[in-house]
Amino acid sequence: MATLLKRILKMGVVNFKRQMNLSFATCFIIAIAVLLISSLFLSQNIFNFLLTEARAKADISVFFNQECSEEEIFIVKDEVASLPEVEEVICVSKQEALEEFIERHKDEDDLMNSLVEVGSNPFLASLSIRAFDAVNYEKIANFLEGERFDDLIAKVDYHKRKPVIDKIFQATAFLENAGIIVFAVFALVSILVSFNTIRLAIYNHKEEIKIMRLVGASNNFIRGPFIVQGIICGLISFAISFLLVLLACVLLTSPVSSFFSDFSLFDFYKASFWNLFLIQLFCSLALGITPSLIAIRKHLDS
Amino acid sequence: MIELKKVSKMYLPDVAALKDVSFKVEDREFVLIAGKSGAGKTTVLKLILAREYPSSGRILWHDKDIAQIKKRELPFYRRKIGIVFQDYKLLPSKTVWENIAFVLEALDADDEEIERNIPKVLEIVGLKNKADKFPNQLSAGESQRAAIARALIHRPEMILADEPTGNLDPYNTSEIIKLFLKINEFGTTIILATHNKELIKKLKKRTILFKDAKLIRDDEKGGVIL
Repeated sequence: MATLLKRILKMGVVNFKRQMNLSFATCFIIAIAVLLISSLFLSQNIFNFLLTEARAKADISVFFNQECSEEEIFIVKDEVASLPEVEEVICVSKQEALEEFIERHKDEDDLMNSLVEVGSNPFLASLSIRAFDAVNYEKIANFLEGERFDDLIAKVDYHKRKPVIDKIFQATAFLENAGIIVFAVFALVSILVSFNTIRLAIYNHKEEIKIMRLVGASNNFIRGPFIVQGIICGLISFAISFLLVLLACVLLTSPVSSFFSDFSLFDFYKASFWNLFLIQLFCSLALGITPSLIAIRKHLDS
Repeated sequence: MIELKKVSKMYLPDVAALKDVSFKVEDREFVLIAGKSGAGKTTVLKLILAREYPSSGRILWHDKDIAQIKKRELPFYRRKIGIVFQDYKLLPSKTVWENIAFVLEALDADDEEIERNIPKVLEIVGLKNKADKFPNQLSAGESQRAAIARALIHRPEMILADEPTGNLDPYNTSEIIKLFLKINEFGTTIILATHNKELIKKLKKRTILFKDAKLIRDDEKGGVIL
């Protein structure tokens, strides 16, 4: 058995070396397919991250009366947070709101002068409430606009924002579904292209396979070297696509960050490293070996 | 050794490649299968090699019906036979040595046996200095010698040769036939298909003549008129 495996391995390696042009062409085709799959994996995850960020922008704000105490604000906050529809509640005190305003507009003299003229802190304490789903905002708004909170709450800023919130959720849902379809189509196309490339390469060996059968070689002895060649192609393709993706992530981190300041492509790559590694390795080997297996089986059965 | 009993082979829709053929070949015989192109010579060899199966009748190898051999056991049957084709059918990506070694490796022979036997066979066929050449680097005569060496290396019981001199000049034809005669002297049964009248007359070996898919004559000493 060991001798047989050794011979199969040797034949596979020798065949790979002797058909170097065809072998490397196959490697590059597989590498392109794996690169495409890797890009789709990364962009799908980046996409989801950005969608989540976009959804996070959709929220409703509740402004409290000036006279409201901190204790009362926290009671309302806790009651809202306990609602099953609510994902997150962030409390912004009057002082924090003032500081935020000054930070945002410190270079605008007109606004700063107006603030000085007012004298006191004009800002109200508020809650920023985010729901799991857009459909829940109306229910939350109705809860806050109830009689219980009449004395405490000055304004619930929902109905004006409702069209925008609805649009954000509709758009992100559409893009999510579209993204899945695009992912599936491109992945399928890349797999089919590399699949057929390898099948064509095996077709070139059809006559050889026939001869091997006629001289009494077993199916495994015929199949083995082609599988070894497929593995070698797969590993080389994996190395190429791995290095290219790494390089792309390093080089594109700065440009991407200039668009999305909260997002670092390289950090994302590091966080997804093992998933991406395994996906690339699996796809490379699968695309190297599977078409060979199917094509050879067809020739052996014919 | 091999016996055809009322064998017929039909190709759809109604082409008869062989009609009701019966003959027997004993161990160590040298038999010529003669006939014009399309007479059925190649079909006989294909059926013996189990590349195809008869539409009717039986082919017996040492009294065992070839058609009963299971698909997974076919390689083991084919290892008892050596095959030589008109177009050599050498593996183009392997050297002469590797083409010959392939057969022994498929038989799971050990490396020592391979290293020992291949030079001997190359000596027999006169290709000692061509072991590291690829098929595209050989002449027609050399290619056919390499094919014969591959057919011979595993000491088969029988060699089937389908028009082995079809692509060769008279000089190489003569050399190849001498090789086959030498192999037969060693004890290997030879069944050689040919339409070469001169060859048949010269060899004076048992000749089975085919015409229009039928066996029309079985002549012990050749000399038939095609």
